[in-house]
Amino acid sequence: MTGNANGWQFWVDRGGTFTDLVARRPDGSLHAYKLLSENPERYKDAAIQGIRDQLEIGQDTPIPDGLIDAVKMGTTVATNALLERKGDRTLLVITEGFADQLRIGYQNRPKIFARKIELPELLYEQVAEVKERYNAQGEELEPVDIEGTRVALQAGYDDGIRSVAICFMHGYRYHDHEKTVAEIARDVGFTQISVSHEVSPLMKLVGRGDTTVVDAYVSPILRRYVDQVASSLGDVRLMFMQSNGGLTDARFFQGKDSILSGPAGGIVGAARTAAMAGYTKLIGFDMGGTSTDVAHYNGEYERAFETLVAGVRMRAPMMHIHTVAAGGGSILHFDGSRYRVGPDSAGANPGPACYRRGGPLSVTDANVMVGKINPDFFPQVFGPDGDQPMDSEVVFQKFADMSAEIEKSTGDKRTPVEVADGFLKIAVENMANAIKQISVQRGYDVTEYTLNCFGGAGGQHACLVADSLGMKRVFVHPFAGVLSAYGMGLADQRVMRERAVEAKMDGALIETLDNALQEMEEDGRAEMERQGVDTSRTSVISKAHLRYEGTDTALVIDFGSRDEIIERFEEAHRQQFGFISPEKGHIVEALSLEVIGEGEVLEDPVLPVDENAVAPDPLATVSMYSANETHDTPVYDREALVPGCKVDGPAILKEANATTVVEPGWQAEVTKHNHVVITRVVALPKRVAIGTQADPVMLEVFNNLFMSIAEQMGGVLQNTSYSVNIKERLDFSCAIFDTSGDLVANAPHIPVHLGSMSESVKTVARQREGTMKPGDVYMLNTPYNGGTHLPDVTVITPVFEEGVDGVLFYVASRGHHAEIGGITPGSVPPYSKHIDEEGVLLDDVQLVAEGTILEAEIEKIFTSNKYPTRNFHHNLGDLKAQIAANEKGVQELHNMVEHFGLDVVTAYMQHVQDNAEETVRRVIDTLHDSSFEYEMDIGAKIKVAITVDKAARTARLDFTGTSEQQNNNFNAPSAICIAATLYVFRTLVDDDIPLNAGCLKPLIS
Amino acid sequence: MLNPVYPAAVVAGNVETSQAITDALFGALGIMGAAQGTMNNFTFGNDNHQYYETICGGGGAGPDYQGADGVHTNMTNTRLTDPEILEWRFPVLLESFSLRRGSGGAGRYRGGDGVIRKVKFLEGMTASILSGHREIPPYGMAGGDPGKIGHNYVLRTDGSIDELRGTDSTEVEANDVMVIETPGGGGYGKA
Repeated sequence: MTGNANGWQFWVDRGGTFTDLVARRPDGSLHAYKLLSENPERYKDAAIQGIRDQLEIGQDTPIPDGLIDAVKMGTTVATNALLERKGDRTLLVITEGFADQLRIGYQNRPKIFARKIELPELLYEQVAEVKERYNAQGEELEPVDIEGTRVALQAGYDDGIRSVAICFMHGYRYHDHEKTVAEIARDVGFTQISVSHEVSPLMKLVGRGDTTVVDAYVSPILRRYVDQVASSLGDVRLMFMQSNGGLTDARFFQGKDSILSGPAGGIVGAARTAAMAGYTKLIGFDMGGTSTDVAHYNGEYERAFETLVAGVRMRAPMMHIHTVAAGGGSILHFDGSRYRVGPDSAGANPGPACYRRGGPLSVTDANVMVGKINPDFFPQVFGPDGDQPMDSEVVFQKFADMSAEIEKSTGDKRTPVEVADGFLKIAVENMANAIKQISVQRGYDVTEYTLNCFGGAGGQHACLVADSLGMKRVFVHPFAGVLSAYGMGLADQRVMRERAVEAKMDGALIETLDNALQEMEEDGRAEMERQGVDTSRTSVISKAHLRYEGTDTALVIDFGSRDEIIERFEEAHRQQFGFISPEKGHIVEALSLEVIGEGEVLEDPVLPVDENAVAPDPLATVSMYSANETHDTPVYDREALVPGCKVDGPAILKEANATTVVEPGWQAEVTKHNHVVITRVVALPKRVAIGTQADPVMLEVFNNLFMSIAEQMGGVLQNTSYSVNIKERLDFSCAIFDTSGDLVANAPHIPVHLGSMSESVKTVARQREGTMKPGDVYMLNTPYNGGTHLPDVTVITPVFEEGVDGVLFYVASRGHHAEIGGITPGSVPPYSKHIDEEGVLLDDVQLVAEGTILEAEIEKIFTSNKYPTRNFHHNLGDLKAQIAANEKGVQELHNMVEHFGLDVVTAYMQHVQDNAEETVRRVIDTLHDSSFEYEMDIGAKIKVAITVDKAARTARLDFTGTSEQQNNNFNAPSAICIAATLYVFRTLVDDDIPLNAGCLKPLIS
Repeated sequence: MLNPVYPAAVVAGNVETSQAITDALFGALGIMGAAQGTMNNFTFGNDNHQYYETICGGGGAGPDYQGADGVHTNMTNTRLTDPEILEWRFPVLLESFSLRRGSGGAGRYRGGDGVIRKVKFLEGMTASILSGHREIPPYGMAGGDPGKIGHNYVLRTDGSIDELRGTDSTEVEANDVMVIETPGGGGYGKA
């Protein structure tokens, strides 16, 4: 495929709703174009139609050869097949004994509080077990049963199945059995054969198996689509964007690499356009109708090698993109006491209320209400004939209704415009919290970053999101509305190879790694050559995936000499986790290598800058409500602003496919590249003034902020702990508490931790009253004072503020230590009768005194028990991780107090509890008196009576009649009873409610 | 049993009695069949290796839904170690891990099935199990049948079978196989 170097190029992003297209004409100029992805009356395929429109070629005329140099595309064809479970019928072939393994997965349920457990629908239709087996070291325990396999495959084939996924235990490294069976599948006649060691040569049967199934399931659909595009285009260089951010020749495009095809183009577009402007530290912020993608970029594309997509575990390199189900279409709710945004969406149909299809109020409508979106400046594509403007009347009416409803329920008098602004505040905070997860939570100082904003709804919120994160610069490229398509054009060709290693890093290993990388490079370069890329234009990046021995989180490090690798690893570890562990060995988990074929060298043209340029007259001046005020706000035609032009906020920039709001305190400038850079020019006030009365907007904001603190603490703990129980099985919880030790917010992964930490905190608060100092930390695991069982150690840090007497709040983290002594290793003895047999009892022990960890004292306690811990070193590691997690919570609470004031934070800690209490009372209204007796195998019984007081809206839980204390280890401390109760009542609420002490108030025991 | 004082042993309170309390409360509310009601705490080890896992089972059925098969219910949701990692790090071979079909209680809506996990040891070790519903089945609701009880046993190399109780511990030799069959969930409504 030769193409014509001077011909047209088309860069296309075929999304679910719109297909975006950037055409590079033979004269080098670029033109953006948008059309509906599905329009069967008019055209068969949107991408081809877009190309025809640009070339001005009629429907039935073939596209002439030689006109087009290249077409570069991203497509959601495979993603949609995966999401909608509409792939090809697939047969899974797996090692005997494992037919149900992918179905069971890792045995966890997706929503912990759903009584009706809904597991993701399976992709494969049939499964065949094959007699064959390697052990982990590659010894063949059983050869492939050739005949049996042939019969099983033939049966699937005869049933009409043509796609097969082959995945065997330890097949990532020992390939022969998979190869043998693939050969049989070819003989039988399968047309799509996905083999695990080719699809994803990495350890973990479940992730690799899922990825192989995805590949078998979506590749045929993808292939049909690719062939259809290719045949319409004729002799043209056709390339597709892969999830890893590189283009590949159409012939090599595989299902497993296609799942993030579109969003990956967005990140490339964001990174390359910002680089043209000299910005290398970015947050990509792509807010669309139903979802928002955020990504972190610091000079290099970040890949995730293990991702959960649509309930499927993908083990293939993908751009590290965090997607939240929130966008312009997120529905606005008032639940009787607080404002809520999403998680449900108005979608494309009916869409927001203003779309004239009877849709509900959504974020987009809130922007219409406050004047940030103006129907006069929005394409007139609504109504039955697709020629009417947005309907602002229905928006005003619906907000007026909601405003009246809110006043009726709460007495809160707020105008419709203020109500809309309140919802926007929550939407903005949700976006900001999503960005925190990929930046702040991983140790990056986001205030030094530029927010590169694109997608349909980003520009309306960018300045506010930046303010919430302390970011001072927003970047908007002229192609922001089609940035993913532009990214396709700017991307390089990339071939990636991975290989599992799982070996300890020592002097001898380097040679093995070098050899492996050499093979991978030869293989990758060969594929690049087959893709038609001249070897002189290729470069190679090699990475080692390294982790400390005994941990599970590998970091991806540039390859080099042994010393270089370790140095880089330690630097990355310190950056992300804040510490290193020189005493631990290093494990090389895998190698990855990418061969890069350089793509378009494209720079946006440099235009003359007129330093004295003034903005032309605005198109209009509208009334916009923002920052608690109504502003007369000019609306400018973005294209009329020439380089050098500066516009002070408040202002609205109208673009062809988007609206950008310049908030008060911000200034937009058009640069020499014709980029818009919006900078905060007036310092953000350090403190915002809000009252201490419960406000239905701030109630939701604080709920989410408190929760976000607990989650950030959890992030630190998970990253830095030693125990696999904490790291991998998520057997931990982090929480914040008010001054009396009542739970304010809790990020539980395991229900048994629910609400039960409060008792531990109260014990410390009571016993240490008046003696606690800033920098002190305490620990506790005693089951008789708020603990659950001994391995669950709770670390508690009191929070102080300078100039204020006494403890203001507490933060605490509970983690399951892998070992804490007792009569059996692992500290879960089946036959214990005395607490000492279960390990070391910690009853309110000081762990840190004014910033100094009391290591010697602690070691003594852990090792002087009757049955001491078997690994104090690990306990100490976990304790340090818990201290660090708490420290994160302390810092975040400090920031919160600085921002809102102590009185406000304290008041809202109470308000969120009152709110949760009300939610549980509503459940109690629906209950009636009942009782139950539950017998256990051990001969004991649990007796419970629930008595409902409808007037007081309380439920009394009476466990009278339950067996006495047992002479075995089945005794359940009161913290567990509380957790179980809270869990059960939480499952009765079919809504996302905050979990705090308020939930327990209506429940009397 | 629900408010122990020093020096009562408590380790199973967290992992087993917690599940019992939950199902007792659901029983009083009368809204769904019991879940497997245990965490099937399985530990094995010797001087060189120690391992602990909890194993999923059947979920309870409700007034308009079937119980989920092979999933963690109520008070736990801990992930299971990937089989390749398990065999890489510990001297064991996972012989099979499958749904225990038919173990969920019948009913208008069927309780979820438990699982069968077979682990072969490659060196001598102590293996322990701490589990419930090996004698009393998880209840069905509104006329639904109870789920099947679980079952723990060891297949010895000489062909003999050693039955284990719900809470039990045994010495195993190389090539012995521990089999854990976890309980099914209770059904809902008359079939």
